[in-house]
Amino acid sequence: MISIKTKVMISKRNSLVILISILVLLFTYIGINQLIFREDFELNLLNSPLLPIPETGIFLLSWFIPILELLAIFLLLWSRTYLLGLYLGIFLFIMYTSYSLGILYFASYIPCSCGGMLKFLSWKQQLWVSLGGLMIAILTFYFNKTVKKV
Amino acid sequence: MKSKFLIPVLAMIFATGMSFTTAELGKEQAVDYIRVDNQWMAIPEIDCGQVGPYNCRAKLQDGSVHPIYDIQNLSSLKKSTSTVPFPL
Repeated sequence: MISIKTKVMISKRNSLVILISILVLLFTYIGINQLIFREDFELNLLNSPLLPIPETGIFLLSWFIPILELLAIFLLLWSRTYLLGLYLGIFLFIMYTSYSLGILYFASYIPCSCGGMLKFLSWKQQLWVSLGGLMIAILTFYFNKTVKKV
Repeated sequence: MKSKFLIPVLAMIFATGMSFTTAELGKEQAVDYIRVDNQWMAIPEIDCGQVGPYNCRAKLQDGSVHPIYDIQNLSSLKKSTSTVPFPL
C-alpha cells in the first residue's frame, strides 16, 4: 500500500517534471528561432529605443542571448545542474518581462516586434508569454523545494 | 531520478523540430523597412496594392506614421493608390 504522503510526493515530482519540460520547450523554441533569425533579431535590437549601445555590442548581444537560452536548456536537463538552469531561466524571464514592459510603457516609440522573443507575437502578447514563463519558473522552484529526492 | 529527465529531453526534441518547421514557413515572409529616429526598422512585408501616386505608409502601435521602403535604401519608397496607412 502506498501512503498518502508518498502519493503526494509522487504527484509533486511529476508536476516538477512537467514544469521543467515546459521551460525546456519554451527555451528551445525561443533560442533556436533566435539563432535561425539572428539577423532579424540583431536588427530588432539595433532598432530598440531601450538599448543605446554600439553596433558591436548589439552584434555580441544577438549571439549571447540565444546561447544563454540554450545553456539554460542543457542545465535544466541534468539532475545535478537543473537548479542552476532554473536560476538562469528565472533571470532570463525577468529580463524579457522588463524589456517588454520597457518597450510598451517607457520607450519613446514602439518598434516592430518581428525579431523579438517570438516574432509572430505583438509586444503585449510577448509580455504575457514572458510573465507566464516567469510564473512557471517560480512554480518549478517552489516544487523543487518541496519535493524530496526519491 | 534519471527517468525524470526523459520527458524534458522529449520536449527539447519536439521544440527543436517545431522551430525548424516554423522557420521554414517564416523564411517565405519578406520584410519591408521604415525609418524611425533616423534608423532602419524592419517590419513584416506590407501589400500596398497597385502602384499609385501616394507613398505607402505604415502606422506603428504608438500612432506614428512612416513611409515604407522595399529595402534599406531611401530611393526604394513603396507606392500605393491609398493614402490610408497600414496598421502594424
